[in-house]
Amino acid sequence: MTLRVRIEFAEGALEERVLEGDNLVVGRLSTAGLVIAHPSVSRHHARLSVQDNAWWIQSLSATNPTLLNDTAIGGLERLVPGDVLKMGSCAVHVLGAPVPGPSAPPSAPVQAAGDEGQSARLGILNEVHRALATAISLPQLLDLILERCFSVLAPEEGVVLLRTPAGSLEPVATRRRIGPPGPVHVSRRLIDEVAGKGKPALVMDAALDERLAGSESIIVSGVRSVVAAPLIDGDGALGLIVLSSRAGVRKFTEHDLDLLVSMASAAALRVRNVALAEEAAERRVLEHELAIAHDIQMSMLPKPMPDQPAVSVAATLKPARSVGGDLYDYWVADDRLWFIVADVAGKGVGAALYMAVVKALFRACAHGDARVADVAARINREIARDNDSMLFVTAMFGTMTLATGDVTMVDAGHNPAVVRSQATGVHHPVIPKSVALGVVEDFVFSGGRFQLPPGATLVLYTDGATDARNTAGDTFGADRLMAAIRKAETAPASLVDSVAAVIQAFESGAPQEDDITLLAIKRR
Amino acid sequence: MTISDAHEGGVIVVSPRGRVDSTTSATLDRHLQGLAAAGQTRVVVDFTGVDYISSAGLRVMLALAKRGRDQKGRVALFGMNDSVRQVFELAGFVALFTIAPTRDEALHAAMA
Repeated sequence: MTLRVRIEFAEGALEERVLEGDNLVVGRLSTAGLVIAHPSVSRHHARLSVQDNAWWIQSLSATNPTLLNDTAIGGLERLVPGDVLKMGSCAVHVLGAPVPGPSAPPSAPVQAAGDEGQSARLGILNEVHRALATAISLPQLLDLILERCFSVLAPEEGVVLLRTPAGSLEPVATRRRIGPPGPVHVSRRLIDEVAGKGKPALVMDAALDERLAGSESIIVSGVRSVVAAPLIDGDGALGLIVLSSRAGVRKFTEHDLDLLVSMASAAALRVRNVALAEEAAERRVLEHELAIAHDIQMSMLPKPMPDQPAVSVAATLKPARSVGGDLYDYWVADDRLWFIVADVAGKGVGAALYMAVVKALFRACAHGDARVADVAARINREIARDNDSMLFVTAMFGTMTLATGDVTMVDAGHNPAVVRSQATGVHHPVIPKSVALGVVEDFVFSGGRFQLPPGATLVLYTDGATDARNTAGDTFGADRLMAAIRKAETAPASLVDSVAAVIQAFESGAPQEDDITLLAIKRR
Repeated sequence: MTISDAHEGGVIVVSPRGRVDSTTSATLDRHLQGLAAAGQTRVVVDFTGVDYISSAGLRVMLALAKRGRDQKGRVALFGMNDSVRQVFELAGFVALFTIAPTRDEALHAAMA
């Protein structure tokens, strides 16, 4: 059954609606059967239902009553034309069944859009501004924009299209006066005209208007009155709002167009602001994630090791703000020193968790008289398995026998190690190159052996050290790193600090793009 | 970074220009994934315009190689400058890729 009502808003705007069905919720929510978008109306305010061929009203809100002809209603109350329902500060006039047939005279839904002039229009816009300010998410805002358009301009259907990051315009919110929301067809030509040129359009007769000539999408649904306005901000058109009705039901006027253009510009501002706020929120989530990754990373590093009779070890890790992924570890067990410097290709929590796995595997595998090449193969197999994300780890790691200074190391796709000694100054020990960990599941690793003489220092580092850049874009590079290691004091703690300081001085304020790790092992 | 494509005898030559690092590698990855999704399995990557590649860029290359294996395709690289080649060498990746000295040889390898 149908029912015609006129809603009188507290601010004076009038709006006529035709309801269809036998059970409708009246309320502020856009999902209600009869939407009264006003803050004084409850979300589920009352229920309209059909019984015995008549409409009945029932209150749904315990705290926000519905009055029928100024009397609070108890249970179900029967409605007759002429009744006035009071909900919040709005009134709903019951008008009866609509005049049947397609030749029904177009309703005059909004006085303000017609003759009442500037002040009423400003009132509406003011109200739109205030209403839009309450939306906190983009979908909420878009629904609210359509809701406002419906209450002010009373179209049969409406759609908001927004530009995607890829540049196309896609419908993001739709609304119908009757029936469930669903796709609303809009001609591509109209979209291009309005969003492309940033010009509003008022199409009184789709079949004759040259802007729509040949555009099937509107003609198939009959002659329609269409009004469309771009959502424009400083950067151009964000999208557009399109409202349409069968021409026999509602014909839009130039006044309606002006009003829609004004509402669209208010909406555009809010769409831009809400979109920016959502971007900022995403950024905060990302920053939070990076902070977690940083905490995981730092909590995994070993404590400084007191100098041993045979060896002293020190390391530093300067995390980059956004990247992360470096790891170092060392410990002495059974007269051997085990050590690792590694760099996970990746960033964020994923990389940090990978680092935790690498550290745990190294700790688990490297003990007793384990061969370094076997340790490498075991870690590699574990992380190469099901490695769809193509995360890989470059690592330089091994063991030194404390009594002899015999070092065995594996170079799993890592930067070459450096030995600093009295005899040679600085040089790279010869270690066979193996592929990074996690790439080839059954890779056969081979270790390299050399002896670290008493007084000599072995230095391992990550590519954050060599790839550090200054503001001019120059790279620190392996040569400068070798020079810095040669010139530094020999005590490991001083060596890593002074090399890190040289790199920082080179960067001269340029943002650090990658973690910088340095590990020094001095045989005493 | 900009990326351009050229088609040559059933092979697509992808030419990224600029730095392939943690900020730009996702763009290249999406581009290469798009080619794979379109069934383009013979791919040559032209490094002549690449100034620098980071480990994030290497991951993109690994993913390309893995798709190549999975789809029984062919992947070849050419035109690396010394520092880009050094990054491949440091990571031990030289053995994992067909790295050709010239464009013609890369095309030849990808057509094989």
